[in-house]
Amino acid sequence: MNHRNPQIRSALAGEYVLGTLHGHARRRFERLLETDEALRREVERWQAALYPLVDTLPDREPPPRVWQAIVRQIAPPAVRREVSLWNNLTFWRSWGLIASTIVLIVAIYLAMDLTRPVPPQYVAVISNVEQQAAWLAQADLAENRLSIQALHPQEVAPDRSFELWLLPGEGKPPRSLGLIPAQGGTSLTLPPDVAQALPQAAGLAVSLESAGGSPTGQPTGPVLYQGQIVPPA
Amino acid sequence: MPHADFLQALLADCARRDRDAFERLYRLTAPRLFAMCLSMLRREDLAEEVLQEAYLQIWRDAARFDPDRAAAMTWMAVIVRHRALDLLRRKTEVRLGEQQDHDAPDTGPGPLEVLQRGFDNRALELCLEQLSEEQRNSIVLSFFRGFTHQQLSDYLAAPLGTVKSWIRRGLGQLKRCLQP
Repeated sequence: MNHRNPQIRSALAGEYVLGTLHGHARRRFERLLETDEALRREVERWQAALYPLVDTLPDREPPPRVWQAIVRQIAPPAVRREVSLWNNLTFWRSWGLIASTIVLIVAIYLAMDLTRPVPPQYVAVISNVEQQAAWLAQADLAENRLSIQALHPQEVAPDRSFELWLLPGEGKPPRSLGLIPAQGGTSLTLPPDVAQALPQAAGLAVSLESAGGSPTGQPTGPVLYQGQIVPPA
Repeated sequence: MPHADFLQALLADCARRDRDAFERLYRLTAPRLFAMCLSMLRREDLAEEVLQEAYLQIWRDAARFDPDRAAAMTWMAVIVRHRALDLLRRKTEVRLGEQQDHDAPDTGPGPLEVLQRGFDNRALELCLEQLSEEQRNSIVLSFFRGFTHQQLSDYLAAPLGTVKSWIRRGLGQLKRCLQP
């Protein structure tokens, strides 16, 4: 095959673009393309000539799972606002109104669960700085258990975990309640002294720690979420 | 289909890692390119797989798109079709082509009917009309079905040499017609 002859080059390029060049001949052509700029331009001319055929096809909507699979594989954005809210008094004060509205709705929802008797539950809706509810926590003090449920899956890097803290208030340091999942739910055991402190506590908070949780027993990563604890009605 | 400049701008945004622009680009272009995958692969699962891999490549390579060398939609369609062709060639042992044709569910109108609709590209439409029916059918079938010469020969029940000649002459004539 004479690759210098312009007619032959053009013919090969046309068949390459159409797809009828295949096997050994195709591979040889692709190797040529790597170094032959003029041949690449010829291929582009054929593509421009033939590919408008695509526009004659009626559209077919792909199923949503295709986009979902694509978006999962492109790098997620960095977790926003890695600014600790720990010392931000405005943050602590400002969102209480919205949070209590959410808690009211949740409490009504809980009260409507008639399938089994619901023991008195302390409830907290844990939200981010934009007041989007992220987790629902329910404490059953009779059982010393805290169930926590993600309301929407939260984005977290693979080498990070979310850790839940009880904020006792009155200047006392936060107590770790354990790691919580970014999606789905889990049930945490409350040590007796934590269960005792819970009704008077200032609230719950969630910080972003490295994979196994804070190594120090205190939050080391940014506090990105918090929630007020609401006693049973 | 939105204007070429708009798609071009979205691709440039993708090169800057704008994920919203990428989603908008997908929403606008995926239905056309999915239709192309279905036309070639005849199976929804394979078409979805190719579409997904192709858009990931589009995202990865967005910075390499040069608007002076190609239209955005052409550049994207080449990526998608190239992957579909690769899959077709790899799957010859499964005989995705002629054998499964009658079993495959209807994934849309055949390529020959499709050509009867209005064509945006007047030049290509007119030039295709200049070809003999066999030349035109061969080219259109190869484009939409990804047939090899052999598969075309089987599909059209014509000798291999004849089919190769239809393609070669048809393309040559198209080129002469399209050149100013």
